Amino acid sequence: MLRISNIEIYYGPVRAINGVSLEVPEGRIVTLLGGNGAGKTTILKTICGLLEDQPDTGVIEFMGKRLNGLNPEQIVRRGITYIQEGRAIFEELTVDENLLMGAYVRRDVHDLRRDRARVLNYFPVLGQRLYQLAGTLSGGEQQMLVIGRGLMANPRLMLLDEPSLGLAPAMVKEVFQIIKTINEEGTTILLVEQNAKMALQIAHYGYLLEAGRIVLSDEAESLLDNQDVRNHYLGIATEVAPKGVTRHKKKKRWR
Amino acid sequence: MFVQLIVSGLATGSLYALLALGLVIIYRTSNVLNFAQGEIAMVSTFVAFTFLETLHIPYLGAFLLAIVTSFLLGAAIEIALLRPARHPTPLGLIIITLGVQQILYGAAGWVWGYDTKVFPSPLSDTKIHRLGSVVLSEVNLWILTASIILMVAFLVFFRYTRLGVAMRAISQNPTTARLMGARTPWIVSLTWAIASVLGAVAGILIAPVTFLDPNMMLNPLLKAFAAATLGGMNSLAGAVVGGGSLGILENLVGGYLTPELKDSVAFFVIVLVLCLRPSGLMGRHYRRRV
Ligand SMILES: Nc1ncnc2c1ncn2[C@@H]1O[C@H](COP(=O)(O)OP(=O)(O)O)[C@@H](O)[C@H]1O
Ligand SMILES: [Mg+2]
Repeated sequence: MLRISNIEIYYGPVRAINGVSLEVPEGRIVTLLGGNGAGKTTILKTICGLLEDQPDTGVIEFMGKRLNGLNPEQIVRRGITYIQEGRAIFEELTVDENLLMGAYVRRDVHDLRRDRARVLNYFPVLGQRLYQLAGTLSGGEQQMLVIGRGLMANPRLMLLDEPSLGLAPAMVKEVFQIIKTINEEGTTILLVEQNAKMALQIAHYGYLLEAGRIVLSDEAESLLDNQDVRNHYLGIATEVAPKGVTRHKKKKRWR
Repeated sequence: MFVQLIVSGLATGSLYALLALGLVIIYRTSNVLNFAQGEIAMVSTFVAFTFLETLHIPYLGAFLLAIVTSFLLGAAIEIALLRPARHPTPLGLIIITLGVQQILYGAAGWVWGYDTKVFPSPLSDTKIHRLGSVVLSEVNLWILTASIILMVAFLVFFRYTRLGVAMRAISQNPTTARLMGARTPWIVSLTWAIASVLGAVAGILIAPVTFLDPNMMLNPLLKAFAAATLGGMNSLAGAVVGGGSLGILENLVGGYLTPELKDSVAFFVIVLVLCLRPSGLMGRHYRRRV
């Protein structure tokens, strides 16, 4: 469904992404894992057209058509919804108005009503707060609102950027459960996370990103069993310092 | 006397409110204080004058044509002069709008002259209507009616239509609004167009009272800035409340104290309000959680 081939992304003269390829097949949850600054958000922003003139090289294809050079307004109309990190709600709009904005590109009033009911069914708490300003919601509720707002566009592909960030563990579980349900009901998902353990439990396939490169990719189950992944991402072994191996590799290239 | 002063103050205040609403929607969507707001209104009023006097178009037709002109003028200014400034500083944007103000002022003087003209209007300043114990001149009655209708329409548009909600969304987070599919640059141009229409209506309504010359909007614009600030600068309802209370306040001062102090006392109260409530009467601020 989404195919990224060998892209490079620059911020000015600085290369943030260095030859990344990945694929998201229809109906799946694919997760892109990596630490802070690995380049996860950069990739998502590029897919949805936020970084002008990027990718510098490489191709991004969605449903067989190139996305390169399109702007965000066009890309969302192709059926891709990007749910930004850090809960980018419209604070001074009500919950209801936030949801309305999510459906901005839609004209199909009937289906829209159905999708709205679906969102309120996933997140009953939003139904109780419809006419409250979104800025007054708790962190968890805000995360639910941005996911619900994204669903209002009825996307084919949903790009989720660190939905677990800053949420209490119980809330993380709940949010991931809903992501899984959304996928089971037909939406393809590219899930970006630092919380590898949670992400790999609901994903079908995973990619590991380090310093702008994919260093490993496999079925989610295999990644959960992989020794390196267990050491560095799942925090199971403690004798090696986090990032030790990659730091080592990187220095080799420089010297 | 008291009620009388309040009602006629409200008529003036509603004009401030129209201008202030224009300032606020532009401030919210473009983060710029539009110093050209008054001059756009002044030029539109002169355009209406030309349609009436030179081309002899009937009043309603001239009014509507001037509104269309102001709509296009507002959008054109945004597209031609503000949009190209790609990563502007707030100061740079202010200088641009000040520049536009000077250009329009000079152009109006060049085209129409600096002498004061009488704006022909079917509304009389001397004919009065009685509402109970209150008397209102026909002009003031129309000012009140027209601006209340316009403000209600405007607030309904912002509250309930998709485009109105999108305008408010853009003012809070343009990137996210784009990601939802809002064509942000065009919507911003549209806010400039709408703001200009609000100003043009205010200009045409006020012209029969103040007469017509390139300076006519200087004082009203200053008051509109004060009204918008009083209302919180980013609140639409605040602009309306701010404009209304400013009009009433200065009329009370003019009536009970002395007309000379009208402007001073009005601004004294605003300074006082801002010292006690820096975000204005109805300003709301959410700090972003990062
Ligand atoms: N706007 C920007 N300008 C310059 N460099 C940036 C910008 N945004 C991100 N970067 C850099 O690109 C790299 C990847 O960032 P990002 O994609 O945000 O990482 P992640 O989402 O994985 O934490 C980082 O080194 C970061 O410093
Ligand atoms: Mg990120």
